[in-house]
Amino acid sequence: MGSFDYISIIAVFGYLLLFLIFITAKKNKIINSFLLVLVASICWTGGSFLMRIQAWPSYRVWYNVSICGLLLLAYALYSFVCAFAGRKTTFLSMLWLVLIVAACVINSLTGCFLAAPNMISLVDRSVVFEYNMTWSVGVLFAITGGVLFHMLYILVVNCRKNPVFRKQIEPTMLGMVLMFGGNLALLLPFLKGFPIDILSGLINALLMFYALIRRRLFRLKFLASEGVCYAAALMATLLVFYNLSPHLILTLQKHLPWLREDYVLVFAGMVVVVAMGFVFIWKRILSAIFVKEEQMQKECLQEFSLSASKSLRLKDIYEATVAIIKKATDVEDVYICMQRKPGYPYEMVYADSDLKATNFIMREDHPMVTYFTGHSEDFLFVRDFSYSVDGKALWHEERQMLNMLKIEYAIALKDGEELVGIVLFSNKDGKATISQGDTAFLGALGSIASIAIKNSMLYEKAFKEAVTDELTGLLNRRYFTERFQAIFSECEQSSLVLILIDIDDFKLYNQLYGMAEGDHALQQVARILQASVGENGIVARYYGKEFAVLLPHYDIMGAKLLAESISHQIHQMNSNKKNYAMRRLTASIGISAFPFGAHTMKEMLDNVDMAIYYVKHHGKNGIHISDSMTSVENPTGRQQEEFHPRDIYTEYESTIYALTAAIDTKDHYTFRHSNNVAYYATALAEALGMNEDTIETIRQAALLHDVGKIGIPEQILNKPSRLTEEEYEVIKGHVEASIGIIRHLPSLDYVIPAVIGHHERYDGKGYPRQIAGENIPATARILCIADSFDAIVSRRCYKSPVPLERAREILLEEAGRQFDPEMVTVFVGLLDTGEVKIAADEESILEEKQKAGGQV
Amino acid sequence: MKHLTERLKKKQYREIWEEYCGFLDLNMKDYMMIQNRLMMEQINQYAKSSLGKIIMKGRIPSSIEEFRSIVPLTTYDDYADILLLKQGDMLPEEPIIWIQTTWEGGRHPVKLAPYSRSMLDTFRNNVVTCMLLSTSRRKGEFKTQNMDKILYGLAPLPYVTGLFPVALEEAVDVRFLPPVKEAVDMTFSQRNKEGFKQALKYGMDYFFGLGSVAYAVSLSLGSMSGGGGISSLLKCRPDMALRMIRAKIRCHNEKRSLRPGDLFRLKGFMVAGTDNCCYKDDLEKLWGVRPMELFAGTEPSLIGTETWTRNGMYFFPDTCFYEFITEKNMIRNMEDPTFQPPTCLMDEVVPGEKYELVISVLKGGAFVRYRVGDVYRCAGLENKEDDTHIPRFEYVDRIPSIIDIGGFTRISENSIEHVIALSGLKIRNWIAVKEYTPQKRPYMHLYAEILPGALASGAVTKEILKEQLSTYFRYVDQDYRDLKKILGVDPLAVTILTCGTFERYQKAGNPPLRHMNPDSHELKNFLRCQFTASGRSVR
Repeated sequence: MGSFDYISIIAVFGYLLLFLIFITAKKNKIINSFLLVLVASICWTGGSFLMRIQAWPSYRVWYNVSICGLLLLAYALYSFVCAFAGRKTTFLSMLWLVLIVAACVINSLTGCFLAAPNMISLVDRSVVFEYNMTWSVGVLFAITGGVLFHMLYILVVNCRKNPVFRKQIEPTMLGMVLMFGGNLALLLPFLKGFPIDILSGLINALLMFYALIRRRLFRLKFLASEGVCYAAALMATLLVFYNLSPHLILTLQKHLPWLREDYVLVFAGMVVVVAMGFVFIWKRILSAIFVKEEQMQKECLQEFSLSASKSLRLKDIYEATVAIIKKATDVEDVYICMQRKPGYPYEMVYADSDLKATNFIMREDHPMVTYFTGHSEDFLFVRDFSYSVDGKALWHEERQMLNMLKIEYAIALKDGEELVGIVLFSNKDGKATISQGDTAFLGALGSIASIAIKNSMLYEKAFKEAVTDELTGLLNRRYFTERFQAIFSECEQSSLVLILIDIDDFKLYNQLYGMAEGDHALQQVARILQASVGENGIVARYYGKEFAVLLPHYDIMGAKLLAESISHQIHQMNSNKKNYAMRRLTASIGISAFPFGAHTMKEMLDNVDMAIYYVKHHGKNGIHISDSMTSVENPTGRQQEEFHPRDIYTEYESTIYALTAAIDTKDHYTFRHSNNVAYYATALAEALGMNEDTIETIRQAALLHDVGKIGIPEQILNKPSRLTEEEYEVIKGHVEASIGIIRHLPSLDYVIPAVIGHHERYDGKGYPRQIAGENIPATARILCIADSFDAIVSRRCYKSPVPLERAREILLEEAGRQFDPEMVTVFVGLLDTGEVKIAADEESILEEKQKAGGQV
Repeated sequence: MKHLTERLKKKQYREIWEEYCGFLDLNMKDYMMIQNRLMMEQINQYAKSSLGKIIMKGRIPSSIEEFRSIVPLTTYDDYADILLLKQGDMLPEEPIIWIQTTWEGGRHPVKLAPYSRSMLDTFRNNVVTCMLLSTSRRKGEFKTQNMDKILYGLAPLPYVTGLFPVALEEAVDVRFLPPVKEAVDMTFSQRNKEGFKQALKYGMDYFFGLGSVAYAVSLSLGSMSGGGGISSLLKCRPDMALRMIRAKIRCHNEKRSLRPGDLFRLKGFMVAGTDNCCYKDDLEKLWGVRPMELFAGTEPSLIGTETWTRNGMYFFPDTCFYEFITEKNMIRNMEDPTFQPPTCLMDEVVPGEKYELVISVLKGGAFVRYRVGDVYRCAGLENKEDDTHIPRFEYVDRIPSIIDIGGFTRISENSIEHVIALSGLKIRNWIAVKEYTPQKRPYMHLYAEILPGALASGAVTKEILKEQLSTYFRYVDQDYRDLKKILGVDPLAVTILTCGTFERYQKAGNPPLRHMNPDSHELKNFLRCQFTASGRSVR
């Protein structure tokens, strides 16, 4: 073997290794053409080496292999450049292939272009090869020259046209220049005998390999694949043993002659050991360089997958996600943004520190959100994105927020096609920390995290639905009882206070303002309770209009102060309503405390029930502490005395008469009409079986229902002809004017629902609120019938009185339209039975007197 | 390092194209998504500002439709009180710079437009887009490099044209000939001379100017390089000297004067302003490169550009929110100022139709639903040549009530009346029309009818009228003065009409005639009326 033959061996070894590596890679045109380059190089270098050592079968065979390899290499390089430039196969490229193959075949068979050289043995037993070149060798030069010039042309054109191509092909071009330079360098005398052409060929292959890596057509981790490891080890072993075998045999013969018959076995064993050693070393080295990080990320994914499957708590999943990301990458901070439900923004739900900007939200039309929903990609680099066309739609403040948080990278959490969340990664000082290699890991992590988050969200949603009240969002009774038991056990050595809050007259409130308004009031109460109690206890909607508050480690004094504050806030709830006066809500509150006044849960519950009962029977709107048996207090602390509602009404009688007297002065008809309506309405209320309090309320409401007419000009009130549109609007305004007057008398506000609704129609076409059916308070529906009936049967300056029979018919015709059908039927029944008579107006009395011949 | 400089160094050509020219790949839906989103941002910001509260009358629109229904179309008069006093605290975003222009040819001294930082960022990116596209010959390909040299023939700050070099220098390392800091203190001709001198020394990659100015500069460059002998050659770079010698030999052989194109091989050639169509062919002949037109204004900033095909322009989606008034409605509004013309959006324009542009400046701008006073024709909704799927426009001219000559001056009905009053000429009635010479150069043609009494009492000839009116136009309008000074043209032609022409026209039952740019058919009818004897109509 010549002194420089090791270069050829290394070259062939290198080519073979590259070939083995790429044969396992994903194929495309570029990879295939590179494989062709390697095959041609192996043929050329290997053939020439085997020719020089005159290997079996003959040097002529190896010469032909070598010359074919060389010719094919020209085409392979051409093919590689074409593939790299993305050129399609053309007629010319096919022609070059045909010509080269034909030249190889013809030359191998006939040697007509360049015949095999003559081998001349020298005195020192070495051999030289003497080539006999003729003009016909020019044919080979012409074909390869043509191929190479065509390749050069493609290179120049594409480099001019596409700077990206130029940048990518740069290493290949350098390699080719080196290769041709190496071949030319053979002519230099001082390099005689040194296979500079072989060496430059190898360097060229390595530079092409580098170009492929740069173009991301090959990943270095493939180098550590099992196949490549074993192949590399095998070749290295062969190389070692080929060179060492003579020395080894000599050594064995010298030191272990008794093993002569088992040399083969010893040899085989040594080969295996060395090969295994090579495999081990190759794997360790490459794993340390390329695979270690990937392996670590893989392990992280497994770990994350495991931890995510163990918990269904959202917070645990978020924590695990963030922890794994921080472990496997160099990111500084991680933020998780989730969408509560479609139509809502993506809100930051978790950051790895409580001090992070948790108010960060991304609207549903945020360009990053629309990018993820509209593209299949699950990640983006924020800097690149902000420069992209999609990023043009970013708002200034959105840009600022991303910059402020130094967000570098984002991954989408998708459920199928639906984007459920976005994970944002920030880096320190704006330095890039996410490598291309991390993207695959983060993508996989995103997939696992989105499934885990989705599952835990579903679970949390189901759990929330199971333990909370849908309307108020507070704990429901069942879960409250459960928690009560747990907390009671926890507080056995301490104290525990239970507060029960019952909203007073809530049924009436619902009747007055409708269910929707009632629900809204309950939600407001819930908000007040949650805000007041905070983290100090738990709040539940105990039953309908009853709320329970459990305060661990509280004393009675603290609980009482809290209850007073709650009671005050509830009372203030409706004070800001601008459109019309609404009844103020009050609450009856009972308090029981362990161990001060109760020793068991049941005792506490019984105590608060009793306390509520006590307050209810002492005028409502108060707080009672059952344990201490302190007397009922109202929120202001004033001692409340025994009283009866009837007393209140008597108290207000003078106010009512003062107001009705005022009407009388202004408009006598209205005064009389109010009295008549009070008569009809109370009769109907009694017939409907209403209680005494309600009947009294109706009576007072009837007396006051038209008090707003004080403000209406007399010429409109007493206009004999038909009212104009504008005048009618003025008349309609009396309802609100009445409310305007009554609302200044807080003690009379209970009549408001009846007054405000007395012109509402059962079919919803009335005024001022246009409510319908049962949404109109019952008192107002009664008032409506009484008011209308009196108007029908009374004499007015613009109309004569309608006879009772006709009035009766009108009432029945309007049943279900203007009037509550059930109530109007009862009223007509009263008329029919004579239980209600037409209240005589003054003119009728006058007429009767005149008929009787009396003087006025 | 500057953003584009860094990317060019890293040879990230594809990324550069996508960043700056990627909007050309948008489809209509995505284009409108960007428009609508940025407009909502602007509405929210605007509603909070004092100016916004005045314009929107205290209402806060929750959608673009509501915004369009609440806010009427605006003109500069609506903003003058705030902007002329530079009340930056009343604007949606504190301005970084106030850009200036003349207003109505001198009747009002100046118009000021505020530019916020976000607007300037968008402006910078769009300037780079124009620069890349001007060198482009096909999609995805451009020749811009670091340290390219630009000969810049536009006015410096505080005019909007002065923003171009400032913005460009923020994005990329380029070399202006002469450097911007030095150019600010030079006169127009000094700047050109110095620029050309440096171009001969260092080479020139871009030329950027108003179409009309570019043409004037190009002619002067030819004459500037025409003189000089060996000494001038010795001052040049060797390759420039060689090129100059070759060019002179070629010109000698072809018996023609030296053209800038003989000396410089431009990578990109950009023109802005109006009347570019009149100069484009000549400029192409002079430079050997067809100029690329871009569209900018003081109020709207840089709003659009042509591409490598030089066949119609595209509006940038992130500069302004665009609305369009059809030509029919625009004319109806001119005739009846109480009529509020409806507008359509970018995705509602119809190919072939002419539109007056209405803009709302995005990113903290002051102008909303602002009538810029420019008319565009929609050239198509898609273009196979450019491979685009967004509307393409061609600049037509200013709105008919304004006569713009070479992008220099905007003459309105008010300014003409002002000039006539100042001149003391006994002009009874007049019509002004923008016309073009056979060489395609724009000028204003004033058709004037003299009071019959004045003809007998004073000397009234076409020359006297032209001389006097020109004098007063130059007196009231700085831009008009520059037109003469820079371009060397007097863009006024006067025709004295036969006495009673207007009356005859009216009596013939013709529709009322606008003073400014009347309909060409009506003008023809009108001119016929002056040849009829004793008041008889020709109709």
